Parts: sequence; structure tokens; C-alpha cells
Amino acid sequence: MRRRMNGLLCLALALSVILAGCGTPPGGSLNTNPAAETKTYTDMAGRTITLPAQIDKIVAVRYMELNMLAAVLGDDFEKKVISLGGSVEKNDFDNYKKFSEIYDLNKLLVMDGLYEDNIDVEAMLELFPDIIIVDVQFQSKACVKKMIEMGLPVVFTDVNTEPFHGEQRSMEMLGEMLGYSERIQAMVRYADEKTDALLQRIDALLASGAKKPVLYFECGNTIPSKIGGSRGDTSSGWGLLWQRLGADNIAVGHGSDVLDPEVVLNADPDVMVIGGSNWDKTSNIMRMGYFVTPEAASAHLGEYVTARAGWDNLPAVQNKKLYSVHFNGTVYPFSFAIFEYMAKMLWPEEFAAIEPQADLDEFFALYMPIEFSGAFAGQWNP
Amino acid sequence: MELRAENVNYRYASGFQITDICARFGGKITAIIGPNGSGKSTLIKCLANQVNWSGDLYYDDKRIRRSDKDFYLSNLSYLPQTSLMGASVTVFEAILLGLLNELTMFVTKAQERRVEDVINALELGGVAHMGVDELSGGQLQMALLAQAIIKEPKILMLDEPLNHLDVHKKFAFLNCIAKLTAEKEMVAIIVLHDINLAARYADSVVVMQRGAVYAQGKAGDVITKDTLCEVYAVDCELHRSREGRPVVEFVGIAREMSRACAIDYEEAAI
Amino acid sequence: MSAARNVLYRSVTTRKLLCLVGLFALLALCFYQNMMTGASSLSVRDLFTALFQAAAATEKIHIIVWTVRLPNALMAILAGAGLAVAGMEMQTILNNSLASPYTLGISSAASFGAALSLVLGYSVLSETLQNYITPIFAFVFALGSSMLVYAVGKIKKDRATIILAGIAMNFLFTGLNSVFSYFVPDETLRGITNWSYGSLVGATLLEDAIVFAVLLVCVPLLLRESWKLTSLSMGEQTAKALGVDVSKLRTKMMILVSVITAVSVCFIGTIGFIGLVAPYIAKRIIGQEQRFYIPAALLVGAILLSAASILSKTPIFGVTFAIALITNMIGIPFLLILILQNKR
Repeated sequence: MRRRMNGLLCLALALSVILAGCGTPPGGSLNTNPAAETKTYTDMAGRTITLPAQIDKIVAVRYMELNMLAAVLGDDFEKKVISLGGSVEKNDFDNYKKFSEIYDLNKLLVMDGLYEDNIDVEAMLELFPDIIIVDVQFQSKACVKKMIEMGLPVVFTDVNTEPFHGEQRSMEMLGEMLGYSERIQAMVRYADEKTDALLQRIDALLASGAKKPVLYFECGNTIPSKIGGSRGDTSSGWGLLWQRLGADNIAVGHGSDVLDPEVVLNADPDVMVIGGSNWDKTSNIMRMGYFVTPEAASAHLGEYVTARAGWDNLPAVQNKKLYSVHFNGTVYPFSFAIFEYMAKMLWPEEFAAIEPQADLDEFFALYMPIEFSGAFAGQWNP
Repeated sequence: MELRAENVNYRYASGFQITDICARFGGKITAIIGPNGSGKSTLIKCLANQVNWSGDLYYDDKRIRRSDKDFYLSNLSYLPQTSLMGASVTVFEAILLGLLNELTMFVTKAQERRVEDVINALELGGVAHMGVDELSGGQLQMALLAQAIIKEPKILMLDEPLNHLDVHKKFAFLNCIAKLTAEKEMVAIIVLHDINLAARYADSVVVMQRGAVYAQGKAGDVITKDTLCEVYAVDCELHRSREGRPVVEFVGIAREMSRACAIDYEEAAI
Repeated sequence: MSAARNVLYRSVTTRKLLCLVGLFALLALCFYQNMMTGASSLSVRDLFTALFQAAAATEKIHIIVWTVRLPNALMAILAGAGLAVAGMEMQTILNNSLASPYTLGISSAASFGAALSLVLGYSVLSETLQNYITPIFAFVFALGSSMLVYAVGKIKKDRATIILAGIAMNFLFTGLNSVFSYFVPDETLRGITNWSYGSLVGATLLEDAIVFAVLLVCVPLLLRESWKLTSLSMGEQTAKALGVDVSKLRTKMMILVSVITAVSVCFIGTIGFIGLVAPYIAKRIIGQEQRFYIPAALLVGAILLSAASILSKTPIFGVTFAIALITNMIGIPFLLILILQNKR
């Protein structure tokens, strides 16, 4: 009986090895045109990837890559981008409205399912894209792994690991792959210079023993009378950003929790910032973006002062240091401006000379295919 | 062919126990009778090795150990008290299970024939391929009996097998047992509630009371007015049947009860 | 008269065998249809060329058949069969037709294991290992949970204890999962939820081979106990009376069921209802005698999950539903019918 069991086990193992070896797809990436010239790169996940030298069919799996690709491709966006994953109109109508001024975004194929992990990989294969852009945070998704296994040209960007430079490095990589190196170099250098200058001065400030401003940051994705989550995880995202810029964030240690209003009142924050975006089209949420006016932002912030008990006694409110900032600011090519705004909020005297709006206007004029409009940061000005 | 038990002890977690039971099960059919809670089921469970009991069991004067699984598997069949059966196994398959010890993935023609024979003997032909959950109480009981006897055990133990049967079926069942024990080398030990049936069919009777043997011996010797009054707290008249077996005519709840009896039964106004 | 009866039983056995053959044919049909369904168009000839003359097929067709559809279709069969037979044995040893392979807390434990692996991240490990961390964690926790239940069952040996311990495990791991949600970023959280939901998308041939190997070892072990299991379905008392060591049988079955379930879910997540519905259908078709019930459950489970897989790839009124949603949509009304009909 024991021998029979062992025999069965060996048979099973043998079968597994045979089956596993059977279906190996041809090595490397799917080559739609064997005669075409190819080049080898290393993506931001450290993978070696072979792509056609001339890339004409671009797919991204997340709608947020719109800004990055627009900056890299400029006028070539429409003819080269096939899909941005989910529907831009449904998920981010502020960007949709803005970029519809120059592109026909309705022509983009909707390939939904990144977050639910059920992208139709066969449909992706049918598209025969030259490159599929995926942010490295989605590396573990089964559909992404399957696309790699199929030999599809998946390339990983990394915007979030190092949020101050991630967008720039990703754009540089894409610039090289897509053939816009020169243009991108200039853009990235501009952004890097501004960002690095900022960070250097922050480091000097902190080294000299300056007192960190007490900060309360809240996500404004709900009406002012309801409390949104804060961000206290200093290893990534907003928690990391605020810490690096020298804030004393009262949410540290509380993850993405909604902070108890009493905690906020007791902390006596010097600076309060509400994160804004366009999570939906109609609710009374904190809005930031291409179609927001500074007056509207200020008015909305005023509603917080009215709605929140005890806020008018806080130093931040009394000194009019109540601000708003675009919640997705860091994935935009002009994120440096967002950082400048944030630095000014925390250290107004130190950075009095910096003019983020002027920098934005200059950057848009030089590098973005669209004209600047709207507001990506706001202040309460009663 | 005699089964002998000595010093049978078992204690439930709830505290109820049977102590130091010594009993002989000679003769073809032995009935175990006694009031509710006197330990009848417990005793038969011990004898059938269904629980962790202590004591000694002898068959034909040979000591049978509890660990002697082969003896039990080949020679002893136990039919527990039946409750509703929800399985959709067919009667045929259920009876086949009686041969569990020797069944393999392939059922041989010989095994099939044995099932056929038992089905015929117990007149279950009509329901042979019906699901066990579709049977009436009587049919189920017969089917389970078939399952118990197919392996031709030397010892057949039945715990209250007549519970769900009407009077006709009660007789049919016991007639069947009588026939089996007469024709084959089999002893049957049956826990019964009906004293008259016990008197009529059993060669020997064991009377249980409060976890101990009150009396045992031939039916005629054991089933007496005094015994029934003492054990069941009932008054009765005893007659004799044509075969000389006792026939009990019950009068009612006893007027005078011993103190021991009063503990078991509430005093009722007569 | 005797000979005539004999013929009748033979015919019963023959009928059952024919049912199995019929189920197998249905499965083959489902497998074929699964291989032919998908976003790319594939002709029958393309399919056969790719399968049997691999060198002759174009690269694209080869990839679709071997990398996307075949692993998916095979996993549907294997995981479906595994979940079905595991559910069926759970129902047998617990004598409860509402039991499922997840009764021992396996589903939440597996989800927790997967969640833990996603949270810990894999930056320290090599890429090959990264692919298998989640399934390994899921498997280990699934098995761990059922071993805990088994241990509890050893202390107090009865069915109710096992069922209650399983429920406790479910609560424990679901609770732990909730605690997790405080500490993880939203992205990871979504990943965790999606994993629990279940999906065949990521299946690979190697994973298929592993599940197949486990089934190849475990199912014969189940078949060996066919008659004892059939006796157990007649009730614990009857089985014991027939000389079956019920607690030993339960233990052995629990281990086998746990291993089969754990390996079925560790790659694809916890797809529900197959383990509940397939045994019911198999029982209706072929009865409870385990020599036939086991193969029937395997086949019905494979058919159900394959059919669900086909449906999940076919747009219904323009929408494609995830496979877990489809099994739920079939399973929930089924469950209601089962509850209403339940005699026990």
C-alpha cells in the first residue's frame, strides 16, 4: 500500500513537471513585427523589457496616467494612445473636461478592471499594443501577471515610492521609450530643480532647529459637516509628503482614520489643510482642479469654519492659515508646484519669495499641451 | 453458544451508571426488560462494545477482549434504537453495508446474491431499490434488521426494535427473529418494553432496575406478580398461555408500593 | 425470482455508470466551449492546431490557447471538482446537507493568509518566489484553521462542536481581516477584497498541475473509504453499529477535505457555492452510495465551475460578470430552496 502511494506521488509529480513545461510561451515579448527594430530597456520595477524602437500604439491601464501621457506626448497623444484603462469621463471629469479641449477622449477604448483585477487580457492581446503602462503598485494583480506571462509589453512606472521625484523619473523613462527624450529632459529638469531647491531649504530649516508647525490634514471628499479621513502613514502618500516638508502632522500613528474632533481641538493646529478633488460631479465636496476658482475654494473652506465646532478658536483659523490642496497633485507633471504651495503653507516667511502660481503658468506655457486654468491650491480668505 | 457477561460497569458523564452487572444469555432469545432509565440500553451498548465499558465478556467460555475488533465485526450485529433516517441510500445498498467489513470497490455476484436472499427472507422485495428515507417505520426497521443479519452473526443485539411498529408488524418482526434463531446458529438479545411479547418469545429474561439486574432466568420464573409490582409499580393478574408461558393482564398502578418503587414513580391518586 | 432481482441491481449499477459517462461527456462539452469562449476569435481548427501541432500555430493563437484559455479552463475543472468533493465529504461527515468546504473556517482563513501576504509586501523576496507567496500563505492559513478545528474536535468529540469551532474560526479570521483594513492603504485593501472574491484569471499551468497532483493523491484515499462513508450517511449510530471507527474516519476526512479545499482556493481565491450546490445535484442524479457519489460530485463540480467560467466570459446584456458573482447568483436561490426543502 505504501509503495502504491509513493508510486502515485511520483506519477503526480512527473505529470506536474510535464504539464508545467508544456505551455511556455515564446520567450521575450510578443513580437508583432519580427522585422522591426527593437530596443531593450529597464523599467522602474527593475525588469528588462524589449520594445519596438518606434512606438505607435500606447495603452495605459489607469485613467490617472492622462496627465503624464499628455505631458510626454503633447499633440501626438490622440494618434498614439489607444486606451487609458477605465473611463476618464466617469472617474475624473475635471481632467476629462480640460483635456477634451484638445483631445477627443471619447475615441479611447475603455478597458476596465484594473482595481477589480479582471482586465480582459484577451482583448488586450487583440489590441497588439506596443507598450502597456502600469504603475508598479499594481504589480501583484493577477491580470497584470497574466499579461506579462502572455508576453505583452508591460512596462512599470513608479510614481509613489518616491513621491517627490517618482513622476519625473517615470516620465523620463517613458520619454526615452516613446521617443520624446529631449522634450522630457527639459521638463523634468525644471521640475526637479524646483523640487530639490525646496527640499534643500526644508532640510536646512529643520537642521537649524526651527519649530515644526502643527498640521491637521483632512481629505475633503465629503460635506463640511462630516469629517473626512486624515493621513498619518509616514511611509507613503500624504503622510510621507507632509513629514518630508517638515510638518508636525497630528495624524501620525492613526493611518487613514477619521480623527476625533476633540483630538484636533486639543492639538491647536497652526496650519489646517483640506485635500480636494472631483470625486463626483455634484456633491458639496472640496473641489480643486482646472475649473475651480480661488473664490469657490475659499467659500467652501469657510463652510468648514462654520460647520466645525470650536474651529474659530484654533490658531490656524484665527491666523487665516486654512488651506486646500489638490488631493491627487503628486501624480501630475507639475507636482513641484503643489509641493511649493504646501511649503508656503507650512513655512510662509521662509518661502515668501516663491510664487507657485507663476511657476505653474511658466511650466504650462513651456511644457504642457493645455493652458493653465483653475486652482490647485486654495486659502480661506473671508 | 452462551454469552456471559460479568461485572459490567459503565458510567455516563451525567452520573447515571450501571454497576456490576452479571448476566447470562443462554437460550435462543433473551429479552431485557425494565422501566425507563433502568439501564437496558446502556447494558446492551456495553455488550455490543459501543461504549467504553469495563467488565468481562465470555462467549462459549472464551474471554472476548474489547480490543478484539475482529470478533465483534464477524460475529456480532448491533441494531441501535432507530430514529428517522434522512439518507437517500437505497434499501439494497443499506443491506449491502451489513457486509461492510468485507466490501471493496467491486461488489461481487456472491455478495449481491446474499443481499437478494435476505431481501426475500424478510419480504423486502417491493422496496429493494427505494431510498431508505422513503420507507415507512416498519419497512425501515425490517431493512435495518436485514442489514444486521446479512453477515450471519452469531450474536444479534437489538435495542427496542419494535418502537415504531404497529401490532401486526411487531409480531412479524419477532416471528422473524424466532425463525432466524431457530434455523441458524444465532442468539438474539432484545431490549423490549412489551412484557407480554417478552414473555411470549424470550427463552430467558433479564429484568433491570435502577442500573442493576433485578432478576434473570426463564421467562416463566422471572415474570411474576411481585416482580412486576416491585419493578414497575403496577398491579397485574398472571395467566398461562397454551404453551405454558406467562400472560400478564395489567390492572393498573400499584396501590401499595415499596419505598424503592415510590422513588421511581410518583404516587398517583387511584 | 432471485436471478431477476440480480438483473435489477445490475441495471441500477449500469444506470449509474451511464450517468457518470453522461456527466463526463457534458464536462468535455463544457471544456470545449470554455476553450472556445473569449474576447479573441478562435476557430475550431485554430484551437486544435494550437493544442496538438504547437509549432504550426501563430504566436498569437498559441498565447491565447496555452497562456490564457487552457490554464483557465483546466483550473475551472480541477478547482470545481476539488471544491465539490470537499463539500460533499463535509456534508457526509457532519451529516448536514448545508455544510460546505468552508465550514471549517477555511475561506476566511485563506483570505486572511492572502491578505497578510499582500500586506507584508514582497520587496525582500526574489521575483519567482513573489508569485507564490500569496498562494502559500493562503494554503498555510487554510490548513492551519482546519487543524485548529480538528484539535478542538478532539477535545469534545461531536459534530456540533466541529461546526461551532468552524464558525468561530470564520469569525476570528474575518475579524482579523477587518483589523487589517485599519493599517493598510486603500489599494492593498482592494487587493485583499478582490482575492477573497475569487477569480480564475491568474491561473497558470503549473498551478493546474499542483491542484491536479493533490487531487490525484487525495481522491483515491477518499474512494478507499467509500463504504464507510456511505454507512456514515446513514447516521453516526448506524455507522458505529456496523463497526466503523467514526471519529477516526472523521479525522481522516477532515484532513483530506482541508488539503483539497486549501489547494483549490489558494490559487484562485474563495469561490462560493460550488461546494454546496454540486453535491446536492450529484446526490439527486446518482444517489448517496459513495463509490458513485464521489466521481459524480467531481464531475458536477467541474461542470458547474466550467459553466460559470464560460458565462463570466460572455457578455450578458452587454455586461460581463465576474465568476464569483455568477456562482453567487446561482447559489443563493439554490441555498434558499435547499433550506426550505431540508428534511433534516
